[in-house]
Amino acid sequence: MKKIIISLSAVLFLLVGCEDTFLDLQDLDSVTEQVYFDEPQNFEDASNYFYRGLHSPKATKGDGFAEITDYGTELNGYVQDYGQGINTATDEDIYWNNAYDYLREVNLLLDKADAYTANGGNAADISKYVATAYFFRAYHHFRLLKRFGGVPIVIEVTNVDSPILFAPRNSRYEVVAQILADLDLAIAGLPATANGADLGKISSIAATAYKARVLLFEGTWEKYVGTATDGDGTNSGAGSTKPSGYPAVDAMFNSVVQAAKAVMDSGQFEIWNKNADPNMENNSYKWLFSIEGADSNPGGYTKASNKEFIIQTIFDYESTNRIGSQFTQINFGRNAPTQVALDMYSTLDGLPINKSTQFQGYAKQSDQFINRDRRMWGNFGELILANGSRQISAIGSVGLSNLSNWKWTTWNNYRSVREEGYNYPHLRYAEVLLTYAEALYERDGSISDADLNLSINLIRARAGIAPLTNTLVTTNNLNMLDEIRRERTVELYMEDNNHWNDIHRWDTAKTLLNDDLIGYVIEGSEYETNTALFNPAIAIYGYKNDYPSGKGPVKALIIDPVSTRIYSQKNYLWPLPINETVINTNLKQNPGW
Amino acid sequence: MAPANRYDDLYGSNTGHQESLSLSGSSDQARYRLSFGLSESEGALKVAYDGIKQYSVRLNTDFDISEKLTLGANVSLQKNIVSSPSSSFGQALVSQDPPVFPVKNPDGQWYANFGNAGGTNSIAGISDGGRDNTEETLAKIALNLKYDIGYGFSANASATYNQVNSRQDITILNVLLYNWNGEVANNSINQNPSIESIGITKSYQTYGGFLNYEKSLSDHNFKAMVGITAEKNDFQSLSGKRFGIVDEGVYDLNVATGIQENEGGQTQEGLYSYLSRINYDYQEKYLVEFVGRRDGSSRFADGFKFNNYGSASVGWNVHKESFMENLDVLSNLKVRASIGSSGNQVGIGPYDYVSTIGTGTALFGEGGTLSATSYIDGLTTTTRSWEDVEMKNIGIDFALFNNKLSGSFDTYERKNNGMLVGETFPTVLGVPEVPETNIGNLVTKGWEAMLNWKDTKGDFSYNIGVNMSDSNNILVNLEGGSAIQSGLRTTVEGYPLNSYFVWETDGLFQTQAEVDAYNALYNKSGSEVPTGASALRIGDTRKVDLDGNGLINDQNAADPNGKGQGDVKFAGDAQAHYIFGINLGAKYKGFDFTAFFQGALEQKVSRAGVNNFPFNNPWPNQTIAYNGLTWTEQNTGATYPRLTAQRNLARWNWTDTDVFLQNNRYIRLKTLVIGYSLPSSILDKLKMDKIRFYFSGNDLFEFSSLVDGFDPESGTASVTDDRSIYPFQRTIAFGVNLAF
Repeated sequence: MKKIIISLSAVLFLLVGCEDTFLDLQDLDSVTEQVYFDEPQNFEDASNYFYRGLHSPKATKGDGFAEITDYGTELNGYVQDYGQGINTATDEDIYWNNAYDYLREVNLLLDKADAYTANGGNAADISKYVATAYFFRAYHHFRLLKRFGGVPIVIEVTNVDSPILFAPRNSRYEVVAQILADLDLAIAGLPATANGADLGKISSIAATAYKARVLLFEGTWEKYVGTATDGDGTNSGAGSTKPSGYPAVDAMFNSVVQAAKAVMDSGQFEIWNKNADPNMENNSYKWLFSIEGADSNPGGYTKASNKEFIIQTIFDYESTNRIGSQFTQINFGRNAPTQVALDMYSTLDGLPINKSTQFQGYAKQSDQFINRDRRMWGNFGELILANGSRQISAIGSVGLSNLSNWKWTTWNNYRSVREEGYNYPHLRYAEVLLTYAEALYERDGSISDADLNLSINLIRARAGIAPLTNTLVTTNNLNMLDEIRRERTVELYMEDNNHWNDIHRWDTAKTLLNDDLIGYVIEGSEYETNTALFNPAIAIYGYKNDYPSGKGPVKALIIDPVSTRIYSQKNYLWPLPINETVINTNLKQNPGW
Repeated sequence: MAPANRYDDLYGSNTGHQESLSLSGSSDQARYRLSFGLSESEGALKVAYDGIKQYSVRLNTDFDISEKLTLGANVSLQKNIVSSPSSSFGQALVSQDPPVFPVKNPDGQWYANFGNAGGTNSIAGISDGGRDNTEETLAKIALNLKYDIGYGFSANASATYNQVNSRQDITILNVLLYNWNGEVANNSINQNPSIESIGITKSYQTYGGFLNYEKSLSDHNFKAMVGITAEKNDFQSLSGKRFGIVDEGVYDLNVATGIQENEGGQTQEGLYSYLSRINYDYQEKYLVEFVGRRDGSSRFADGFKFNNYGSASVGWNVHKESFMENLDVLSNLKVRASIGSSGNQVGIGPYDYVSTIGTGTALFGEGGTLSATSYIDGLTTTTRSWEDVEMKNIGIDFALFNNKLSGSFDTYERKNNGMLVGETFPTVLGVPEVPETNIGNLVTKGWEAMLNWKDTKGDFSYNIGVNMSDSNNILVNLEGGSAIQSGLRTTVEGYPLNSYFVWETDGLFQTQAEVDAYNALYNKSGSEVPTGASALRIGDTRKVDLDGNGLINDQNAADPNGKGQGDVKFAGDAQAHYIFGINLGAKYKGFDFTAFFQGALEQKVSRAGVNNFPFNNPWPNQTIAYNGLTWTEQNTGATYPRLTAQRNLARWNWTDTDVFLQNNRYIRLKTLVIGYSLPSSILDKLKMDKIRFYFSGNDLFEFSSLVDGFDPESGTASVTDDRSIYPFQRTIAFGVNLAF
């Protein structure tokens, strides 16, 4: 009996003694923050994680197609409310949220790096990864800048009690100064090259190329848009406060030229021009974007041949790290060209179509493709008939044009949708050359033939058109700046939102987007006479009678009328997400929203 | 294209069965009961098996080891076998299978929606897209030792141990789709086929040790208890996955040849409590009870693990008073009151107080090699602790006419102090999910009433019971606050949890002049009035500028209503109110009958999900509930706005408007059982103790005030992402009970 009493008491006593068995429980399957970041490998792994924040076709954190489709510009048959200027402010904005999520990761690494060196770690062992963090801090602030203008700059590890959470916006100039400072730190700390096993990582020269992009964007924005979108900073917008030592516009252009030239002089990159190979049929541009294995293009070139991509996301079919989304399909279905887009492309003599005798007119849709820049076929040639016109379908369907954008489609259906494994360019050498030419012209008001030959004529050669020269411009009464801009628009079509950004920094969006969207030239074409190809009942928005075509003013079909478009400078910046302005009343909404 | 009812093709009715057998017996020192069970039930899928089989054995025993020592030992073993389709189940049917495409083409091959492009066909995916099979074994042991020490002291100790082992095999197979001409379509279902096996071991153990004391001294009765309880949960998993499985009829990891992935994982958590209780009563008339406890949880950081709680309650058995003795009609009357506090840790993860490092891979290099990535997973707070729940209660129990009529009434107030609430921070914080912290104070007031009548007349006996309850809460205080916006808001200071804020509307536009006038007033910057292709037309909803600031929106910093709620108003909460139940029962000779109804008198529902109103999204299948109820030129007096496939406009017209908010008042027959037991004259001949045949039905019918016809008990969703979605189901069963 006593034994039992003893054993019962023992049970109670045992329980009293083993509180910790039940309460002091450690995490069994994850490494915790306290013990991490004590060796360089940890910093490398953490910096590798940042790369998913690059805006690639593989949608991360919901970041996806809206940007890829350029929001609907004058080049794009897919009408979107952003391009029409009729979107309204939304409660949330993933491009706001995501940027700050990414910034926190970046700032955490920088914070841990300080602790690492403070604890006796060798700063040189982790300098690459720290520099990578600086690059991404600049990258995400720049994305915020492009979308919202001035935003709160976050360069610390935020917590629930950080004052920055309720801070007002920094002006766009303060944000730019921060981006440039971070890029300079990145350039100083990153390795000169990123090849071999490091391909896809940011090198010092890649950060330099990115700096050129930022400076050209902001320099031209300040030159053409100025403070029009800034607001006063007290009632609306982020204001126009400039930090001390902020560069003047010409100094920015000068820095662009220097940065671009440094990239050009590094010798690391070249335009992927395989036109000397007859198998390529002058279509190097077309197949540049889908290089995978030797079967992925008519010339049998593999990824190793590509020295053009400077910042890129690596995909790979074999390791199942494929694009995985319907990127190609969405691009194909939605980014159908407007007539304006088709008319952008020069003829082989290097002239705009309204100046060229090579242009064959509009009688048949296929005539438009004769003697044209190879990029026109590269971007829109998939559906074109050998000799004729495609039927015009009803306005209101997703693709308002009867052609499609096949820029990203693989050769001979090498890969099906979602299976593509080609590398995706965020910044390629062609852009650096275009940036160089544009900045030079913006700085000096002129550009020499030598500089043109160093830069955009390399791109024009791949496109199969005659070089741009000062003689060509003066003889044909062209405008050099317009031709440089045309070259940029055509070359970078549907890449990383390029055109959307361009028409804003050039301040041309308020005119281009506040106009009828033109689908097809009707006058003088088969469409005028053959109702099987074009049923006039389709023309629910009527016609523009003086569309400035390659054959002078003609009647053209409107696919979205100016009456439904209210695009103005207000739309140059996105509205801040409403929830943020409600929670933090120091955040003033952008002007006009 | 042809009419094709994809729902009817997929869903039908199915049958199930259930058998159980039990043996029991006793001797002087021991009692036992041994039972076996077997059941199988199947989902109402026509095209594939989706079911669960259960086998169970249970042995309950009691031993008197000595006069003072008893031991209870229960062991059971259960096996569950679940098998379901692994893919294409769920929302795809609603959003991606238009009812104009048949399931198969004329050659009997799976047809690709839209002929060629569509990569979906739910029925094809469910039929041939692979299986998700789980086999689970549950073992339980419960031991309970009681010892009577003497002098009023007794002690007991208990221990239980549950273990669950399961293995799940998920096979995802590629299913080719065909166009109408029998050619393989561009897209197929499950383009990246795989097989995955997941092994999980879970255990749950509890221990308790208690010392009791009981003493009666003439009219004074004492009881006291001190004790300790402890529990621990362990979880371990191991899984492997391989891609590239080809359907050869063998479904094992070994047969797949593609990329291989594997994953581990284990967690543990525990609770530990000290308890004490004292009861005292005088002549069983006046009763008091005090409880004190100290609870500890492993989910909190050191220094925040423990909290103390206690409660006190008093009771008065009025009918035992001498002055009530002559009141024969009264069989019971008791008045009760209590006040107490307890702790809550729901919503806290096992190690939420420490940040962990997440890992993954990223692809770099010319050859495309995977490199490791890592990141600090989320933001943590170490300072949060238990949420205190304070409860006050007053109640009365009564019975009249020799317990024929009985009932009770309770009213209570509950305060959640330091309620764990997710505070909304500016997203500049950069953390998608900020942990919940002890920042809210919630007050809930409610009542419960019950009334039962039972009587017997000869062979006929019957009973009727009704009960009803209601509660209302208000979030008195929330640090940081949160802004009011349209729709369902979980936490807003000064309002109940899950409050609806809706747009006040003033009918529909009946003339173009009305539309023009409205646009002239409100179509401007800052207003949410749709423009362009989605511009307002006749038959659309007219929202009211409730705060009079000249804008139609749901925020206004200078709003006199406070909280900047703009043009939305509070319209009740999402909780069901005046919930009631009705029990009916009757017996006559061998027949027995029971029925249970359940319902609620008030619940606000603003339907959510893609099928909530017509053309929320233009591409999925649409609800037909509002057909004939919407504005047309022939029906200008309609309650609901014009149908439009412009989704921005459809959303303006319907989303979170006062008109779209429904009141869900319903009653449903939850269960109905009718049985017949054979009389003893027959049983004796058969040497049986009992033979009973019965019919039972669940959810047989309901009356509901919902306009859109969804299940009144399913909440606000119109479609869930849940893989195993079924339309609402009714169940009927026939059975027989036998006893020897």
